[in-house]
Amino acid sequence: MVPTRRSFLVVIALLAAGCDDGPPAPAVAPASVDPDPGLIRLAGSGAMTPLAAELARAWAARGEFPRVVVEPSVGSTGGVQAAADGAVDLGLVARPLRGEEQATGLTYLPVALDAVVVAAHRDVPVDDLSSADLERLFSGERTRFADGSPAVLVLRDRWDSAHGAFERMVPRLAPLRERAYETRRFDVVFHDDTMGAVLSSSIGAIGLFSLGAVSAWKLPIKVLSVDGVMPSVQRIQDGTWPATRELAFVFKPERRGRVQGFLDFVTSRDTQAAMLAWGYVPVMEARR
Amino acid sequence: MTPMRLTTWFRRRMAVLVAVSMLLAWAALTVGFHLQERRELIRTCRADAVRVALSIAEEIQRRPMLWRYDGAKMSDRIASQGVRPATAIVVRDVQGASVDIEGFRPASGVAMLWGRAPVLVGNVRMADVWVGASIGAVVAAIGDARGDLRVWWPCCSPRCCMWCPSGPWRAPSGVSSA
Repeated sequence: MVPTRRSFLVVIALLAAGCDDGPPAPAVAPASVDPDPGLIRLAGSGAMTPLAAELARAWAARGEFPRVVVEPSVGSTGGVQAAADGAVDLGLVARPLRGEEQATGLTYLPVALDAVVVAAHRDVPVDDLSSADLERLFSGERTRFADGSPAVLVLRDRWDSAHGAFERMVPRLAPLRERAYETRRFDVVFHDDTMGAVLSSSIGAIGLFSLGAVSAWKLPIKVLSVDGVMPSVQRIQDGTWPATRELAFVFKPERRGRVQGFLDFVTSRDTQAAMLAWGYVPVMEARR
Repeated sequence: MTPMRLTTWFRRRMAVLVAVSMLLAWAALTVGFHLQERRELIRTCRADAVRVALSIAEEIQRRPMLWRYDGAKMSDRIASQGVRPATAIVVRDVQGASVDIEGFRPASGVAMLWGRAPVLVGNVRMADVWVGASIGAVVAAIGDARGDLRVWWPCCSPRCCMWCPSGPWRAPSGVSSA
């Protein structure tokens, strides 16, 4: 009897050794979110977050109601999903809606153009880089500036719209960037606020960033000219700085009533003028 | 000294005994190895699940309201932490709703082994993470081990080396293989 019981225990122990934690439970549908009557909630692309925060501040300064709250960035994809689920009233996006996103029935409202620029720590010993210099930086061929100080390229993640916008201006960077992800040669940063912090604080840091964010957040960052062209709102308007991205709101049509007052404020003449001062070109201005 | 001569009857019995013993040894080795590989894979999945859970916990602290919508970036961050690319990751929030981690979606119809870890923020469970690996990895490992066995086992006897994956055994010059 005893050996039988022992054998049984050995078999159980062997079987237990091979047991996993079981497959995931089937998913349930996310709980629907009722809008807060006292708040208009905004979230999405980090590229648009500084502009949205400026707009919210200006809206609050006028004593308007409901209050506008800008949540930390979750990217354009997250902004679209959150708006579609009703978790936010206005999703913030820095790219046009993709095919499957258009099927969500969200309304897309372009607000402004933002310039994607080469930004660096304020102490870097250069003010201008050529396209060829940038290619050498992205390929890892160049790791120092002319005076021997380190040049530390910081990349944004694959999902960020900054790369796509800038690569319209310097197309040869696209394959070099893809290779850099594969080789893990450079640090990758996932959000605009982190990128701003890295460029402000890390000696020799250099990367692609939003012109609007530099001026809205008043960051101690140097914006570099590329091939002798210094980015500015005027350059965006006259088309001599083609590395731009369209910033837009997306919202469910049934939420329009809640956000209409704020949208009217955003598209008003005064706010459009303020956007130019914040470093963005209002879409109405750009299309003029 | 008189050489030992085995009777035909005894030789036959011994041949059966040897064949059965080898079969049992092979089966025991395969099952044992399978269990060991399986346990190793589950342990790796659990360790990965803990790492992913920590990463998601950080994300929840940063974006308490909308963390579930940051799945695209979370997937890149998880990949940059060295989680194996063939891994499947499933995240369910505390209500059981799915959080999509792009690039780590489980392939349909593939048998998987799962390791689970809770996502804790200040000792409060906010979500659960499952990290899965295909059972195919265990089967492949057993296949590799059998290959290794074939190299190691028949080479004990020079006559069996026609099975050896590294080619037939050749006696060093001056040594007879017969």
